Amino acid sequence: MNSVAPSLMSSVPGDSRFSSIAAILEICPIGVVGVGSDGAVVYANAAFSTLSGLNAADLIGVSEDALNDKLRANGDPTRPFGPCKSPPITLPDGQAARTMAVIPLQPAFCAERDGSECGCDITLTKPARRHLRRTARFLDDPGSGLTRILFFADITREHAADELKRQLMVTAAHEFRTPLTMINGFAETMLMREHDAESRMDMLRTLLHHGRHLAKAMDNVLDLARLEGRVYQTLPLTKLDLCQVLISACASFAYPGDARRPEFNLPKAAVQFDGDRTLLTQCVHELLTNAYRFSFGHGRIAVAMEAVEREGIHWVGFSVTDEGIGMTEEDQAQAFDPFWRADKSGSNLGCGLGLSLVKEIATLHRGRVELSSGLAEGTKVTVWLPVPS
Amino acid sequence: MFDEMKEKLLIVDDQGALRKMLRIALGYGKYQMFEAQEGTSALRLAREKRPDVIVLDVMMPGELDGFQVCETIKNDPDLKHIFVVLLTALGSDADRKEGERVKADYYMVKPFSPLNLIEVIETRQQRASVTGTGKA
Repeated sequence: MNSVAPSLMSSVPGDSRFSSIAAILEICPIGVVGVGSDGAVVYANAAFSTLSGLNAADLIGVSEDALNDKLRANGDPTRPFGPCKSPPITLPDGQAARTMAVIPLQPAFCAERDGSECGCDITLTKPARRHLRRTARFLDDPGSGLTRILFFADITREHAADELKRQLMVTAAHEFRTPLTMINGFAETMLMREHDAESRMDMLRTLLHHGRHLAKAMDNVLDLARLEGRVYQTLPLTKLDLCQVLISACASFAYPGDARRPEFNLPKAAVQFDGDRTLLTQCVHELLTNAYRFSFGHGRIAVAMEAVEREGIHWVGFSVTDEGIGMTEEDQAQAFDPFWRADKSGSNLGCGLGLSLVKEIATLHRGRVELSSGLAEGTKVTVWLPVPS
Repeated sequence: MFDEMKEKLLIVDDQGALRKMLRIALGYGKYQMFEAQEGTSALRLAREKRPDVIVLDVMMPGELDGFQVCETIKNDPDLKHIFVVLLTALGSDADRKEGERVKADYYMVKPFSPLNLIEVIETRQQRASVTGTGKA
């Protein structure tokens, strides 16, 4: 608290409200910087220090421009941030235009005296990769010696979520275009001239195959979107026994044309866990689908459970292992990317979202997914969930 | 028409189903057809067979994508006369500009109409510009 402007503390001597406000600012999760009438920093709270990596005490007396330079030194050079006030734009006909923030600030909080808005996004790489939204407000309070307050909110999480959504949409569009190309293309080809009966049947079969693929792809994208939308909501949890969930999920699973049943290696005692039964069952089904699909009727499919303790947390991991074609290191690195498929020839009905869904479901339960595989050696995927000890 | 008199057409796409569709759509007897699944073999076939037309998918796994194959062909004095049609699901301005940069003769966004593709190939209609790129 030694960086708090003396005026904040002494305006009304003995008034405990001011020391409370100072205390509140010091625990506020938003970075707060106070700039005095001479344009120099008079105050910076603890959150600002944490987020920016700059020591509050070193900033007292620093000009706002110098503060920006210090932030830039920790910033991502590929994402330059401009002056706090958005610069005027000159239109081709020479007229000046105001800029407008895409997400407009509330008019009640006038940012600049001339009414223009004032805020920008900052990307830092040190002390950690963060996205901060900086907004400035005028403080019309001559007694305090402060004229401008800069707020730095950490929007890293929201930024990442937006980026994921954007990527998903771009990839989804591409994924839908591919089967559509086939459907429209084959239909047009059939119409453009006479074909013999066998060719026609063949083309119609292909058309239907891609129509089904498109339907499945859309279902999976909706699943993924629904799951990602739940990130900000709470997950309704029920008390369940993970072993029983696994056994049930396997019992309700069938892979067309493959009579193999999974072999279990589960503890005899119940494994208590608070989770979403439907999501966990879906998770197991996705893992089983991959195991069957990539082992082509050969080898065992094993469903097992392990327990470890790491850094004081107890983890339970349920896994599905197959003895199928396995994956290269390159495949493994990309396996969890939405729409990534091991078999790109298009003959496989899967649309590449199985492992993305598994990862989402694990994340929603505060868990993680582990994959180990070797080319021609099979694959093991483990979902680790934290359990109360 | 004997094979030797026909023009040569090379289809390059990693997806078997799309190659099949193109094979059927373009296989009305006018062209001698060759196929490749990825960039390196596409270039090899281009040098061996000297096709008149190449239909080239942009997104392919492996060392070379469609843009790189097109660029290599257009920078090779022996091959640059080949009419190259780029097929892609990517239709953004940046992608079209890249198509222009690698000097593709035509840039077609999926889903595309096979009839349109036939017309483009038959007439050697040129369009790789950002503004006027063909779209089915």
